[in-house]
Amino acid sequence: MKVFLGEKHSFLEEVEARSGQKVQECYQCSKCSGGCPFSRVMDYAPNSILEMIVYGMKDQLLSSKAIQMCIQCGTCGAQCPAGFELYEVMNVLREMAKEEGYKTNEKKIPKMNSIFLGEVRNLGRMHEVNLMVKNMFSQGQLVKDVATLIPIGPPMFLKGIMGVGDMLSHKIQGQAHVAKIFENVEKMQGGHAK
Amino acid sequence: MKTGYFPGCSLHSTAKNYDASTKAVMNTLGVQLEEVPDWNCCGSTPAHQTDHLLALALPARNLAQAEKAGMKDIMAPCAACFNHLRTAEIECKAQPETKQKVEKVIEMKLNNSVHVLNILELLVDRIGIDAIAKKVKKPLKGLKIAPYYGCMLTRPAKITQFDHPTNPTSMDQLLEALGADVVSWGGKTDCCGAAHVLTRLEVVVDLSGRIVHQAKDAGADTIATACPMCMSNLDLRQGAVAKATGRDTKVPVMYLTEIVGMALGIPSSQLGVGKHVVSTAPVQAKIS
Repeated sequence: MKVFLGEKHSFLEEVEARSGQKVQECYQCSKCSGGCPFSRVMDYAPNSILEMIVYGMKDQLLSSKAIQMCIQCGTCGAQCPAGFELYEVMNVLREMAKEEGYKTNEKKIPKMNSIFLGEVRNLGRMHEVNLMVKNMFSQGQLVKDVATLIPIGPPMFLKGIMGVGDMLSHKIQGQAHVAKIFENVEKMQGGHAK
Repeated sequence: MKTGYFPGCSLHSTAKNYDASTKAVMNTLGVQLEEVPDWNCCGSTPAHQTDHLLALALPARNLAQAEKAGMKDIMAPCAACFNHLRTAEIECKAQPETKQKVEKVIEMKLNNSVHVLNILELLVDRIGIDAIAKKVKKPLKGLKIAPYYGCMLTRPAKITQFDHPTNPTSMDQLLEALGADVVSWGGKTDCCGAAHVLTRLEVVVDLSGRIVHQAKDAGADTIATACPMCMSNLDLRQGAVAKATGRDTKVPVMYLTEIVGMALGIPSSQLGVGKHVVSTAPVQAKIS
């Protein structure tokens, strides 16, 4: 079937051009959604996402939880009979959402990402304890999160997976250089890389 | 043999025994590891979920640091670090305009002269299974191992160029050469849920639970992994899996290098064996 694009379908053209993936050639076999480890907790399954792009459902997609959940595990692409790399599409959708100022329905993941990247910016490296603690305090479910730590925290110390030394964070020598990289990306991307 | 070494953030905290066992194994195999000077975090999943340019620039600074130090290869034991460093390498090599943009951001020159390796490429392709097998002091006879590759080592195929995106065998072959019984199982490249452990714990418990259950069903004494994130999800969460599914597996999860190191006769204390929530004592008892 040939799809003729009107003005309002420029969303499809943009996604195809930026991702390098021919979204229109998807034949909806749904293998991507069957294999995706996260499709069961997504608001739109991966195969639906491709169809929604074709139909120009930009607002629903760019504010969806689904596009924030892809971690590029590549399971979809390895199974796709049409040879798609769907993660490339997901990356483009997330970038477009940010560039165009869409508010996402997924609150937790972007929050965790910004805490993680904040650590990298301030230290040059990710500090696991800082990340865990700051993430716990910011996600608004402290009691539940602490409860899940109780069974694993003490054994981690007893078994030597973690020690007191791991509480302290250190900056790398080139921390200022790493912070500058963040700054330069922000400048180049017009302030989107936050 | 000499190669650059990129430990990554996890190997300096919760995965210290992956760092220790990698160094001990490479030392025994005659490989000199030289750490990338003043390396920074690769940005991991949060960077690539946030901004593509940032996700290339953070690893690219490490590539530039390695180039400055005259390194030709850098080996990253962490599967995620490997994946992100390799992505930056490949995209900068393939797209001159991307390279220019990245150079502008990191304010350093890139010569595209560094190649990123994962631990299996170093062990299997560079050192060679035969050379390793010749140095085995304690064959892993009777030890049933489920080789677990996960996602970041294997996919996307165009980045990782691993031996197969869903049915890889390089770790299987290496473990067999050490004398182990490699179990046939379906979980070898399934996703453990990765960083969603911090935002969607129940999903990680479900996914990791399926993996440890499959390994148990295949009769594995232990799961071998080459990823600190997989280790953390599979090892730390078995209690939660037992609570959620009513099935307590207690399958020890070990870094590939701990297992290789034991076969090479390196003392457990040097490898950091045992620093896991699920006890590895039954595995150690089978080897010594």
